[in-house]
Amino acid sequence: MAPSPILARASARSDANTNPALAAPVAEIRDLQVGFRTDEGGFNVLDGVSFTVRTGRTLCLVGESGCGKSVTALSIMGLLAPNAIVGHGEILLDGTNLLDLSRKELNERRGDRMAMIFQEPMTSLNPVLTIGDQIVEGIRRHRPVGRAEAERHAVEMLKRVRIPAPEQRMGDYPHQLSGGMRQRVMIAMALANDPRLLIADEPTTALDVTIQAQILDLIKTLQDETGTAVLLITHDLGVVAEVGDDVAVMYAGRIVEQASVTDLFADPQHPYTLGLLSSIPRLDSEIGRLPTIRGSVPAPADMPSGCRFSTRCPFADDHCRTEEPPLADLSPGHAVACWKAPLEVRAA
Amino acid sequence: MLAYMARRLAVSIPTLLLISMMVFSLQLLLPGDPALAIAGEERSPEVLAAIREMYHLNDPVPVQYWHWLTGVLSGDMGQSIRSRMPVTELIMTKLPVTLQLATMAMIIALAIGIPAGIVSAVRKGTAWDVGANVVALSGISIPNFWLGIMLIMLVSVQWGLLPASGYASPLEDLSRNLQTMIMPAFVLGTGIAAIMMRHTRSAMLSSLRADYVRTARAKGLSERVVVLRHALRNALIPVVTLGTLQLGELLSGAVLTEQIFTIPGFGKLVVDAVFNRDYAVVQGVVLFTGTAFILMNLLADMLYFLLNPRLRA
Ligand SMILES: Nc1ncnc2c1ncn2[C@@H]1O[C@H](COP(=O)(O)OP(=O)(O)O)[C@@H](O)[C@H]1O
Ligand code: SF4
Ligand SMILES: [Mg+2]
Repeated sequence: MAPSPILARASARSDANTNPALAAPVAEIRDLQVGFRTDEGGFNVLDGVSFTVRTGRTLCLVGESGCGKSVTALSIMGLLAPNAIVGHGEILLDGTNLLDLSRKELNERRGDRMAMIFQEPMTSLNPVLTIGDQIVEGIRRHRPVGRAEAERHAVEMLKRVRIPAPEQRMGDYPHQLSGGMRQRVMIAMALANDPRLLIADEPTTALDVTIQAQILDLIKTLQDETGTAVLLITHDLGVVAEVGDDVAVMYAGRIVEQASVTDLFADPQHPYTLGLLSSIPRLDSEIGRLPTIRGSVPAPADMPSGCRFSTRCPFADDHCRTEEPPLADLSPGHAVACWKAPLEVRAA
Repeated sequence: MLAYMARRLAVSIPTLLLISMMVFSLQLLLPGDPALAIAGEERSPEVLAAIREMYHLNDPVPVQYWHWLTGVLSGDMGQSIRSRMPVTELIMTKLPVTLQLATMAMIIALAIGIPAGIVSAVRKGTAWDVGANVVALSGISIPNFWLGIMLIMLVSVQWGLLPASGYASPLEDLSRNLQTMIMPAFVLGTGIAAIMMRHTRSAMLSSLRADYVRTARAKGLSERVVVLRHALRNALIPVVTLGTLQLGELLSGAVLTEQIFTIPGFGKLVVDAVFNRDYAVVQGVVLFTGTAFILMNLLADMLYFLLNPRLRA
């Protein structure tokens, strides 16, 4: 059977990369639990999330809307809403646990060693400051350079994100730029201080399809140039195949499957991953006739006991409903949280 | 920008005309025969007839309005029947007083209202926030005249710190002038400060929640820079507009406050004129302050425009 175009792209990408075991970890999230306090009471949104983002590689965090992807990203950046509570866990950036840092120490790292691009380019830039000012302030916050030098560097960054006539754009206000251009500005701003870790939270979701591909390409190219570790959040497995090296599938605040992109597409193991893949039409023939996932994500305040996917899983049994499956290695570098793994449905 | 200003100005002309009609109809609606008032002691039918002729009182109302309006436009607002002084001149002598009072009140309002609004937004839900809101609510609900009287009783009568009256022009005696103006300015200013605080607070709360503030934090900027540069710059746009409108209101004269502290500004001028049935003065002051109010509205619009890069383009 001929490999699907998406798969072909995925393996081509991964082959071009170094051995994941050799790439140094930049960010390590360990057993992270994050909850929120609300008027209706408290609930956990992330429950024991662990993954590692390595230098020069892109880890895609994928899952349905509301599963906790943005909360994960914001936890790393220390940007969680005031009602958030970090229960336990560690967020290591180059070995330092960010959760132990003072506000000031965290601020020294934000925008410098780690940076973030958000989903909404239309509202993420300050409407009353020029884009030049907004890039320059980020540079000068972390580097002992004068205004003129920072401006030169900002223009250089705009050039690198392929913004035409960058000198002129410096004096523009955000509303004078299109969504795609604004996202390029956000990327320029995020990469201005050459961060070790770049977090991109659904950076293309709000953009036109043609622009989406350009932005993803740009992130990829810049990563190849700088060796930045990228945590790319998406709900779109097409994007994962396009730019990912590694992938972590998140369901209801837990990582349910983790693998290299090649392995995940070639040998998906978790029933939820299979369901996600079935929504990519071309892959249907590869993994047999799996129904698209029925039902909806349980609310964080109302989690089922046992496996969180058991309310929607076609293979759920009593064991699943009483005991939570741990995320366990199935083969080196491929971990799954499912009692039934390795799945044998594909033969059936 | 120019086109916008021109359009905005054109729109205010009908408003101004409407005000002028209302001001003019004052003399038709108020009880009492203006001819009698003008005549004073001399009430022979001949004199009254002559007065009616002279002031066009026999003409149809639209013609009277036309005479009056053309006069006003050429700077002639008639004459005070009391002091026999031209109304324009009366207004010009009172204008600096009201202007000074309004400016001082505005400075007090800004100096209290904006920082208090920022603090209560940043410290939302804390004792700071609750305290500022309680003070602001009292500021809004306590009537100016009551606060004025209390201040006089306490500061002037009880403690003897400041004079309760006895206005002096700043050119003659600056210290005396400031001593007499500070209390009324405080009374007017705190009332506005309360409004400004509430608006600053809500504008700050919404801009602190905005995505661009999160971006600013993601850059590692200090909280001070995030609040003052990123959030406040945006929040100030509606607040500045509001401040300009409030200034317009202050310019229309603070009738009660000026009366209580016997400050000889517009407020006092208009009250005296009403009691004396000095129509021309009432009309002149109302027309002048109404126009000032509209101009301030215009200025507020323009400031909103200028401060907002999205509209400026
Ligand atoms: N400040 C908050 N207070 C309460 N619940 C929140 C808050 N922020 C996020 N959540 C909840 O956390 C869950 C995960 O949200 P999020 O991480 O934004 O999802 P996504 O995977 O789509 O990015 C959602 O159920 C959301 O309602
Ligand atoms: S543990 Fe059971 S319910 Fe959960 S995904 Fe696996 S089979 Fe389905
Ligand atoms: Mg999200």
